[in-house]
This record gives sequence, C-alpha cells and structure tokens, in this order.
Amino acid sequence: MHSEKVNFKAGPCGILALISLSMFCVLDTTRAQAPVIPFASIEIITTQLTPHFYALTGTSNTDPGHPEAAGGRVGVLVGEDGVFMVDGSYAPLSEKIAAAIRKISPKPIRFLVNTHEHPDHTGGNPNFARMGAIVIARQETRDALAQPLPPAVAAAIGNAALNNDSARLPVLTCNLTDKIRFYFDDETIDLLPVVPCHTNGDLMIRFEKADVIMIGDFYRNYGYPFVDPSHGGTYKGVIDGRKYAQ
Amino acid sequence: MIATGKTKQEVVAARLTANYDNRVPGGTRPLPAGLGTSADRFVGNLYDELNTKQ
Repeated sequence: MHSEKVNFKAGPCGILALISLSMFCVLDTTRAQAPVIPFASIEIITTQLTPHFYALTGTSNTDPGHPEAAGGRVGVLVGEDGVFMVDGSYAPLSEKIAAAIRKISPKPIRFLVNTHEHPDHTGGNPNFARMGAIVIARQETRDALAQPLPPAVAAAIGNAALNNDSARLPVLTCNLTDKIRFYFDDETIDLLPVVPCHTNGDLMIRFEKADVIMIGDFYRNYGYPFVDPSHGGTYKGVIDGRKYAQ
Repeated sequence: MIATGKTKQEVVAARLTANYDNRVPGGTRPLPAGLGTSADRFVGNLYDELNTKQ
C-alpha cells in the first residue's frame, strides 16, 4: 500500500510548543562498531506527558548510546480510536514496549510512524506490524530500510532475525513535499517531512492538542548535533530544519 | 580554514569546540566507539560537508 495523504475524523486544534523528545541514533553503520546492549536488563518506563500522550523509555545507563533512556523514546497517543505510536525502538524491546502500552490502553496499536531509518527507531517495525500496526515513514526511510543492516551490526542490536523481514518496511510513505494530517480521537497529528538533516528521510510528528512534537534525532541531548552523511544527512539541513520544530 | 587550505586533520586538531566540549554530554568521547557525536566527529563531518561545497 502506498498513499500520500491520510485523513480520519475531524478534531480540534491546540497550541503548539516544542517538547524535545529527542531519540538517539548511535549506530553509525558505516563504522560498524556496534555497542553491546543488555536488552534483557532493560525495563520500560512510562511517563505521562498529557492526559492521552505518553513517552516510553528504557532504563537509564544501560544502553551505551542512550545514557538517559535505553532505546531512546517512544511516543504513544492513546484514545478510543486506538494507539498511535512514534518510533519502534530496538527489536528486542518490542514485547516490553507492547506490554507497557497495554498497561496504558487495551486498544490496538493502529499506527507506527518512524522519524527516520536508524535501527533504534525502526528495529521494532516488524514486531509492531504483526501486532496490526500500519507502519508509516518517509519514502527515503523505506528505501534505506530495504537495504539490510550489515550482519554484525544487526546481530549486535538483536535485529538479526528480522534483518530481511519484509514487515520491517513501512507500508505508507510520504515525500518531502507531502503533508499528512491525522485526525485521531480528539487529536490532530501532523507528519512534517524535513529537509535532509539527521538523515535524508527525517519526519517530525506534531500532536497539536497534546502540544508535543517528536523530532527524532533532529536534536539530541547527548553529544554534538548528529548528522549521518552516509544516509544523506547534512548540517545545512539541521540549520534550515529548525523552522519545522517551531 | 578550508579556504586557507587546512586539511581535515588540521581542522580537527585545532579543537575549535574546546570551549564547549565539557558542557556537551558525550562531547569528548573518542570517535571509534561511535557513541554520540563527539567533537572530533562533529567537526570532521562539518569539514566534509563544507569542503564538498568549495
């Protein structure tokens, strides 16, 4: 399935502000020096940001590349329409993340949006797709995911079994000029394609009423600004892309 | 520095971000680990991007 615009039922608008929910990508696959992550010891911590929006994070100081929160942050909007997720974290954390979501809502996970291609954001794609989620991303992200990770990297992040799984690929994609708006429960969600910055397929997700924007690795609170030139990222884009987060 | 012919190694060695490195979490981590974006990686990548446009 490929579509460029999706609309569901109407909902109100809210005031926007930036809440940095930076997610980290630490695996530069061109360097192929993958960290060892003790997935079994990672627990998922749920933080409620608004009445219907939650951030899920892994235990701190367990993932070398995400000192503050293993696997970065997963955004979860819940309501009568179901669950809307942003980013899928590492594959080995999918069951724990799903369990944490079930504690929030018994509703099905209907959508999973990837902010970009890196495996700490997309590793869980096939697992959540099998749970029924429609995976959405930039076309550039799908194109990148179509290229399996180097085996050593995939193994190091617990992704080896899913490295060639077709369910890892987003089934709904958009391009840089597309504007996608979801009306999901009482929320308006805008998918905002960004000029090449962290990668060439970055997507910000703005929840209007919740007053939350998830910006992937466009900004990180660990290290200097991270551009992945091997996947089309540019510092010029980081500068130009600031307007998307305002 | 690029315009004056400095190499990437010379620009990285100049430690242009030294005043900020201790204020950026992970800023001083060595490159090989690939964890976070160290000062060297940041400056090196920036050099590459700007040098391409010369």
